Amino acid sequence: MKQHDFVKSRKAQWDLFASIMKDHELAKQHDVPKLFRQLSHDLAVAKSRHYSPAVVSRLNELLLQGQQQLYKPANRIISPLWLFFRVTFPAHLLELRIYVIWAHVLFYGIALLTFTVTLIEPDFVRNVMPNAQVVSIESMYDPDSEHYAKERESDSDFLMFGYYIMNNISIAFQCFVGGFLLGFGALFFLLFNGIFFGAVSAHIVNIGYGSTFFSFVITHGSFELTAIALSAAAGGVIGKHLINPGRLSRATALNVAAKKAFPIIFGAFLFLIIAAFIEAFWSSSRFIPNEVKYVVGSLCWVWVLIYIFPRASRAD
Amino acid sequence: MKIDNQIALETAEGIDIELTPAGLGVRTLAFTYDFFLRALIYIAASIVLQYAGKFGQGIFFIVMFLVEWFYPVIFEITTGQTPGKKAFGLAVVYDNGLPVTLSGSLTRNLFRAVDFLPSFYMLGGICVVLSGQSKRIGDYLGGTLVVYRKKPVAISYFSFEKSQTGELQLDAVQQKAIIDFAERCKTLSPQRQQELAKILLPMLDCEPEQAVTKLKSWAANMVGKA
Repeated sequence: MKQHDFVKSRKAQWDLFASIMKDHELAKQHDVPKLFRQLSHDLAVAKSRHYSPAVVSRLNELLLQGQQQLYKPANRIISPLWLFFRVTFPAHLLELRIYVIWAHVLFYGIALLTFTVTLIEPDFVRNVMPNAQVVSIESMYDPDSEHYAKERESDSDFLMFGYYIMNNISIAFQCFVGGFLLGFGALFFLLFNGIFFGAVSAHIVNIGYGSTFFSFVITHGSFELTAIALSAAAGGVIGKHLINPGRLSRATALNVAAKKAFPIIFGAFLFLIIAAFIEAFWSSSRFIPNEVKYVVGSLCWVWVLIYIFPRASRAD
Repeated sequence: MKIDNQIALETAEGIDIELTPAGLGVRTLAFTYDFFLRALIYIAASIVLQYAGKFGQGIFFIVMFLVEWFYPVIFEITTGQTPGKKAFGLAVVYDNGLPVTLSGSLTRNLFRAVDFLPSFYMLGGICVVLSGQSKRIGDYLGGTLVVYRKKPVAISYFSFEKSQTGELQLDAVQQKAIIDFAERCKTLSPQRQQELAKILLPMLDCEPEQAVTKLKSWAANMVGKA
């Protein structure tokens, strides 16, 4: 059969299919899968008989539309997030546990070290940051300063929420992306943030502002510090696969590593949003007594730690 | 030899359908379009929110956060196209040609931060150029592709009398090339048609002015136009 006759005999059905793709009401009156199979057959025939590119590409286009309608994956919002939270994230944390443990050990280890050093030798803090920054941090947590006297208005809570999100996410991404520098970047940012955190908290204790500082950081710190450690762990996965790709090529190893590390990064991203929310609306509130903040903060820590170190499932 | 970058997807029905991945140039254009649109959103938001003081500033930060991270996601999971991609006829799909969903779209857009490095999407750009399917890092991780979504072409009939090809023996590929020429003529200027047809003058055996007409009538004959 020549092309012209073929097109002539089939064109009505193709046009029908095209209009079905645009009109969902029309689709209910027809057996769309059957039409789709018929169309597939037409394309196969057109190709094997070397019909012209215009015919083939027209059929191709129709089939692509049909495929996208018939095999469309369900686009759900809540259930994949819930699945991620319940299954995917813990499973990947379990798989990459060794990285998560190392990230925590290094982060809190160096933080504890600088904390102790700064307690013994208070001037050490000036090795970590310039004096101006020390002064500004001191004034932030000064219990006598006037901004502690009154409750911050909720409008500035919003301001801080926006600010914290930007700031925290960029820190976490630095840690992760540092992984692409053979993991050294991740290590650098992890240790840097650990040193900074350790020195600042010890300095605050030294000058006696401990209660305003710890009541402030304890709640959101659970999510935020964990998220930083997790991003660095994800960066470590990337770095390890670059340095030692095993039997894979480096490009493939990178691909594998990125797939493994992605859920961790995404989880850290969610943690940071939660942390920014707590930091802006809960941690900074003056109405909530410090005791309540300590209790809630400790509960958050316990929950976060239990969550990120899940038990192996019994099936193993 | 393969000179286009089409990729064939095998469907469950056992046939291949073709997708054309979009290259760096058109994607940059689409991105720029989106960039200006986002800038417009920011300008509009800052004009409105400046009257709300610190509260407004906070909302602005949140707007910035949402637009920066979720502007593409919202469009991609509803239509598969951000306004910029729509303007240039592109769409985001999964590797298997199906519409992208939340997880794929979130992945590819979170990794913009990586693709952006060290600045101006250099890493992403290099990846797109080096990869066979024009993927940036986010696309690799999300298992997504940016493809052309063409308007269906109408099958054209050409209005020429058929003529006998005589004793000419043309194989399938040659026949196809001639039919393709006749079909594409609508999109070519007369001078260009003339220029293309002249290549075949040695075998056409006619005046240069009639080359186009003759080729078209051959094509008409080959598709079996009555």
